[in-house]
Formats: sequence, structure tokens, C-alpha cells
Amino acid sequence: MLRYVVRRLLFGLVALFGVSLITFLATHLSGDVTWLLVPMDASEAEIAAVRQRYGLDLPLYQQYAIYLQNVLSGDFGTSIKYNTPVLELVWSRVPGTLVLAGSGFLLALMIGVSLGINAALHRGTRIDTGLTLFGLIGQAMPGFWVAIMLQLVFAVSLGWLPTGGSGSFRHLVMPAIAVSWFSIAAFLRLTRSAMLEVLDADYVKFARVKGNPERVVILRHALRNALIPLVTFAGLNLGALLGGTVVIESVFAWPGLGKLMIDAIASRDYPIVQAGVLTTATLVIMINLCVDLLYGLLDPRMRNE
Amino acid sequence: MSAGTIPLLDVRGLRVYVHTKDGTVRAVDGASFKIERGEALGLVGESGSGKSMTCQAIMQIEPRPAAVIEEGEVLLDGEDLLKKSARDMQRVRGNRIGMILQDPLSSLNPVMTIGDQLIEALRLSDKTSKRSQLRQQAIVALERVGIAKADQRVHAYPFEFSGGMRQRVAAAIAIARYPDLLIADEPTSALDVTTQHRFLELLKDLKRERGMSLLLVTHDLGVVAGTCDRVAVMYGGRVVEIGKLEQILRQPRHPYTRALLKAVPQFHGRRLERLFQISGEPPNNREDLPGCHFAPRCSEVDQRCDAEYPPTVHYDDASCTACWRLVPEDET
Amino acid sequence: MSNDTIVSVEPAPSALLDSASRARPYRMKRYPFLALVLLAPLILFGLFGPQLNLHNPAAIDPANALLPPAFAGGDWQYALGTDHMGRDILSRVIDGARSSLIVALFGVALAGMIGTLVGMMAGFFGGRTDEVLMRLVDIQLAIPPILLAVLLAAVIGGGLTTVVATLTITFWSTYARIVRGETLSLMQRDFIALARVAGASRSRIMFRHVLPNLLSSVVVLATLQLGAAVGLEAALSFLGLGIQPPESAWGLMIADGRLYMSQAWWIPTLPGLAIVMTVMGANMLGDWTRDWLDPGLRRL
Repeated sequence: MLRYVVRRLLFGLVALFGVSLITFLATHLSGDVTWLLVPMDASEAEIAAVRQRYGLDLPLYQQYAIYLQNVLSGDFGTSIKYNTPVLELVWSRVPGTLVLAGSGFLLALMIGVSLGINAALHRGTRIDTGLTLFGLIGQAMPGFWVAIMLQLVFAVSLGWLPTGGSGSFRHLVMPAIAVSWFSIAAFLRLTRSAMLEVLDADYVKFARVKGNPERVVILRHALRNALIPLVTFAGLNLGALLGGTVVIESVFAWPGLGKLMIDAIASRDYPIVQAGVLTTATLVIMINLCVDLLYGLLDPRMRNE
Repeated sequence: MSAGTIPLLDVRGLRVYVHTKDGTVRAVDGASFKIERGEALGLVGESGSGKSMTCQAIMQIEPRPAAVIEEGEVLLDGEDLLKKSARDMQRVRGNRIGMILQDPLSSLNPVMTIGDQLIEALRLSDKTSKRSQLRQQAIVALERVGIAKADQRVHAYPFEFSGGMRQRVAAAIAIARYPDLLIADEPTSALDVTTQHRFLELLKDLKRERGMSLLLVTHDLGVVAGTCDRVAVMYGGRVVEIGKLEQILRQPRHPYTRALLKAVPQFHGRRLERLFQISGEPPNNREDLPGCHFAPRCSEVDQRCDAEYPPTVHYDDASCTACWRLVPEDET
Repeated sequence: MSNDTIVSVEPAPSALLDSASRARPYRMKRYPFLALVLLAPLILFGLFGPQLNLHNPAAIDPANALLPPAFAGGDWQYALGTDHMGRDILSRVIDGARSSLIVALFGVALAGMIGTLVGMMAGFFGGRTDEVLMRLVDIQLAIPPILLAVLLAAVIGGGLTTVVATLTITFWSTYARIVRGETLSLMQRDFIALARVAGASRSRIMFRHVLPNLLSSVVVLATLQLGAAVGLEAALSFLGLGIQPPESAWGLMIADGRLYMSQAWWIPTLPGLAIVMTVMGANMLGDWTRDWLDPGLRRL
């Protein structure tokens, strides 16, 4: 078990390195960034000075080394636009994104999984067909469109909920639904098929044959085994969810990391983009690690690896 | 047979049809047999004869929604199980009828220890004892089925056991609540010969200890010969012959039974005789054949056989057969 | 015959007359009718868009701005209404279909080719190659697609190339994983050993023997991903990172329409419906293809 954990950790680190490299290269490949940092009418000398100050005249690999050093010591540079340390900015926005992603995830999990179980239990009936259809349509709706439709109906037409911003539970409702939408459908389909497979298994029959009440058969035997593929998928999904928050944050003006990054793109504020992507990637990798660990816990067969 | 006591299990005219997109398969098409208390009945037949589905129907664990019990009665001590509510049927399972499934590997939940699975069964009959007490009982049960170091093994997972041991564990679980009837659906098919033998001995011991009845489903006549008191032979979804073990083995009445026995490889002295094969193929249970299902392959067929399904001739309480050849002239 | 005493003779059970099934079996649709119905517009528009258009999708006509669609009080001349710049929405939807179609096809095709190649190599050569390639997959999976697009857009700006690049980079890993798995199991099969023994070169084995057996999985995966590709493209266009004006794209239309939501609900709604129809059709087609080509791939 310990070996398993260590291995996954190492892989995570390698992945992180890869991401940092990619983000670094990306921003530096877009051309000489010097001109962003100086006023339009700067002289050659001034430009050269700026270059030197930011270490932009060094070879690329050295720049990367410096970059890494900085990152590890917590220095992500300074925002070009706001002139504040990027770390502060990013750090202040992370909770917002986490809240949104977290609530979306929980919502999707609760609704999607229970609907999926229902569909599997009533396989072949109209409930099943209806739910599957719902899943199909739901997966086809882009998150941002759902967000806008929600706004249209509940904020603009009915006026029940605010169109955007944050600060209260009411502000969270629509964004969370929008974020979870796609995942609900995905979880529904996945749970349904995982359950169907498990329900056909002999050990479920055996559990029934022992005389267990149906509820116990479903929950203790079927679901526990169906959960295993579900957990892996849920973890991967969370990563996709984090990407989804980016868009939703923009629609609802929700103060999170995603919106920060999108705005930063528009204003060409590279340090923010870099730091944002790196942070998100770290989060995703950490989540994947947790998923792997959870998987090991759930399936005793894995523990002996 | 003591007339007057009702049999423990009385299956009458059971029909189980499976509805697939390619048509309806008549898996069981009018099966009837009885099992007395303390008796071991062997249910013999080829794959597709309906034996497994019969067992599943008795326990009402047939694969819904495709499989439907269309007709029939399953009387347990006189009560029709098919008329019971789901809740009541749940109380019957494990408690009055236990079952061992065919594949030991897949019968046990892979993510639960076998101790927990045993305790789960015990708990269903005993809601008051403490968990530690139940664990003790579980250890005793494992020892009884011949698992060594039971006190350690009780914490192990199914994948840590061999096939034979898993089947023993399944047996331990199935009889944990001391049911009146144990249904074993091809319990030895996945085991090698020596393990088979040991397992069957185990079943016999358990039967003796508790006076438990046994419904042993198999396609292997050898298994039947060593364990059963009576034998029921199924073909094409119907029971074609029932009789005491001796009678079936020595003087089989139905042509199919006779063919089955002929097909068992015989050693005469040192030479192995040429293997006998029943010609033809098992029936495709989708078509509705008007006559006897075995007619296409029967060596003694006559025109009555193709025209109409033969009536069942009862000889005594313990045996019967369904063959035109054996129907006395005055009855046709 | 036998001299046994016969106790009774019981007639055979009569045939069950009403064998009408009480349960409805699962039927696989023979042809993906619904999927094709949903996809037909996209394909038609994609191929024949310019010819079908009544209006020039880019034509700005402020006098006719914000007209409602025909079924909500407007004119049939502008069947789906106009947007804030007076452009005919129907025409723009049709035009957007072309963009989406091209981008999605290209993206998925490229991703498929690269992913299959990588997966084959990982499975075929194993060892170090496998480890390295799979690490790459892990790295790519750690970056959510939108962020990837964000990065790319920061580097090369928005536009068609960005979208296709994003799609390719996002989707190749799924191919790689699955193809690797399939390759590994194929390698165990006898016909590969036979080819080796016969002296075939490695690349020959890979392309003549392994690849053809992978094709059905790859095709299934590709059809399954088409829907996701269209969805991703829409999201990118919505954010301004994808297809740029004056080209039309559904995501772009929705972004524009947002601002006029309260006055003209149809501007963001209708293109969205187009997306839903298309993605649904693509997903259904994908499912059907998978069921048709290899039901064993249910897990995908």
C-alpha cells in the first residue's frame, strides 16, 4: 500500500513539473514580453535595463530555473495590470473557485448518482427511458448556455435570483447548478451502467439468496462494487469541473480563479495566467491523487499491488 | 414414502419464459417434482434443459425483467411461494431455503471479508447477539466446512481463497441459518475431481446432521450417483422422468435417460468402449413443438410422439415418466 | 416393457395460450434514425451552407436589429429573428454549423491520428517508451481543456487554429490510453507472434497487423468524441478564444446575445438549441456506432 502511495505521489510531482514547464514555455514562446513592461516611448537603454531586471536576456533554460526557484519560494511574480504580487491575487480567488466547484460537484454527485441508481433499478421501464433521455440531453447542453438560460428564466424573467456576483447563498444557486449540469448527466449514465453490470453479478444474486432485504442487497452489495469505477470517473470529472468553473464564473461574475484568468488573457497579464494554470493543475493533480488513494481503499484487491 | 405427510417442496407445472429480442425462450415449460424432508433429489439434464432456471424460479431470483414465471405452483410445506409478497419471500430465502450458485468465484462479494459475509447471513436470523459472538459462530461454521485456521481466515477476502475453498465458504453461508432445503446449482462444475468429491461428502454430512433436504442440480451423473436418493431428469424445459436412484441407474424408463446412461463412458475390463453420443442437438426452446421434445433424437420414436406431448405416467409416489412408449394401451 | 404398477396417467400440460410477453425486451435500434435526424441539419448546413442562406450572415443592418423570430411575432423573412446588429440569425446559425463541423472534424481527426500512433507505440514497444508516453498523458490530463485553450490563446491568439490545436491536445490522450490497452491485448494474440516469427519488420507488424484491428475502436471513439468536440468549440468561441468575428460560431452568438438577453431572448437561446441538437445527435451516433461495431466496448 505504501509503495502504491509513493508511486502515485511521484507521478503527481512529475506531472506538476511538466505543467510548469508547459506554462513557462507557453508564455515565453509568445514573443518578447519586454515591450509589455515598458511604456511606448522607451529608449533602447531603458528597454535593455528592463530586460536585464527581469532576467529576460538570459538563455531560456536559465530563465526556467529562476522561474522554478521563484515558484517554489512562493514568488509568482507581479501582476502587470494590478501591480500586486500574483500569489496574493491568486490566493484570494482560489476559495471562490473551490466553493463553486465543490458545490457543483456535490450537487452532481447527489443528484446524478441517485438518479442513476434509480434508472438501473427500474431498467426497461419508462422511468429508466426518461432518465436516460434526460441524461442524454443534459450532456448535450453546454454549461455556459445552461448558465445563460438559467439567468434568463430565473433572474431576468422571474426575478427570483440575482444575475451575478457573490455574497449569499442565493448567488450560489444558479452557478452551482450550471457547473453541475453536465456532470449530473455524466454521473447518471455512468452510475446506471455500473449498477446494471453489478446487478447482474452472481454475488448480488447470492446476497439475495441469503435472505437479505432488497435494500441491503442494493446498498451494501451492489452499490459498493459499482462505486469503484464511479470513484475514478468522479475524480476525473472533478478536473473537468474545474475547467467548467472558468466559463461559469465569467457568466455570473463570480469572483474566482477562472474569471481572473480570463480577464488576464484579455489584458495580457501573463504572470497571472501562468500562476492560475499552475494552481489549477496542482489542484487537479492533488484530486487525482486522492482518487487513486480512495480507489485503493475501496477495492481490497488493489492493496496488494 | 409415508403417505399423509406433505412433501417439503412440491413444484407443480412450473413455466418460466424468457423474453428476448429474438423471441421468447421457454426455459421451463411445465416442470413438476417433489422433494420430501431429508431427501436428496438430483436434477439432471443438459445445458439448456431448464434446471438452473427452475432453481432460480423456486427462489424467485430469476433474471427479471426478461425472465417471467408465467405459471405454476411452488409449494413449500404446502404454502405457494409464488403467491408470497416480496417481503415474505425474502424471509424464506436463506432461512427456509438456502442456495449455492454455480461459480464460487463470483458468488462472493469481492470487497467484503468472508467473515463479514458469514456474519451478514447469521445476523439475519439472530438480531440480538453481539458481533463478536457472531464472529465466533462464523469461525465455527468455517471449521465445520473444513477451512483450516478459520480464526485467521475469517478476516480474509474471497480472492485469497482457492475455488474449492470458496465453494465451501458459500456452502457455509448457505446453511448458516439451517434451512430446510438446500439448492445446489451445479456446485461442482468449477471444481476439479478430488475437490468435487470432498465437497459432495460435505453436502452429505450436512444433510445427515440436520435432516436437510437437498436439490442437487448437475449434468454429471457421477455426482448424482454418489449423493442422491432420487433423480429427476429434465429435457427441453420439462421433467421427463423421476425415480429412485437405483431404478434410474439400473432400469431407466425414458429413452432420454437411457441414452444418458449409455453415454457414460464404460470400461469393460481394460478396453474403453466407443463413446456413445446421443444424435442430434438439444431443442431450441423457442419453437413450440407439438410433440415430445425428445422425439427428433429418440431411437424409439413413433407417430404419437410427434403429434402430441406424452402424458405423465405415475408409478408410485416417487417415480414417473413422460413417454408414449410407456402409456398403457387403454389410456391413449 | 416394464411390469411396474401404474398408479395414474396424467395428461400433458396444455400449451400456454397467451404467451404474449409481459416484459418488454431491450431492443437495439437497427438504424440510428433519431441521431441522423438530429444531425441532418448540421451536415446539410455544413456542406451546403452558403447556397442555402437567404441573407448574408455577416451583413449588418441596424435598421432591422433585434427582430423576433417568426414563431414569436416576427416576419418569415427573418425566420429566427435578427441580432443586435441586424444580422439574420438563421443564416448565422447555418454559417456557424460549417465552422463547428470543420473544426470538430479536424480536431478529432488529428487527435485520433496522434493518439492512435502514440498508443500503438506505447503498447507495442512497452517499457520505457510506454512509461514516458503515459506520463505525457497524465500531464495532459491534469490541465482542464479550457485552461489549455486559455494558455494557447495567450500565446497565439484566438481563432480557428487555437480551437483545432486545443481539441487535438485535449482529445489525443483518450485515444492513446485506449489504443494502448487494445494494443497490449492484441500483442498477446497468436497472429502477431506468427508475423514476428515470419520475419516481419516491426513497423510492418504495427501497421499491417495491429492497426487494422484497432480501427473499430478508434472509429467508435472518434464518433463518441465528436459531440464533445463541438461542445468544447462552442465554449471556446463563447469565451472569445475560439472562432473570431466576423466569422460566425454558435458560441460567439451566445456571447453576443447575452447582453441583449432581456430584450431579445432568442439571440442566446436559439444557437444554444442548435448546439444541443448537434451534440445530442453526435452522441447518439457515437453510441449506436459503438453498439454496432463492438458491443464489448460498452465501457467506453
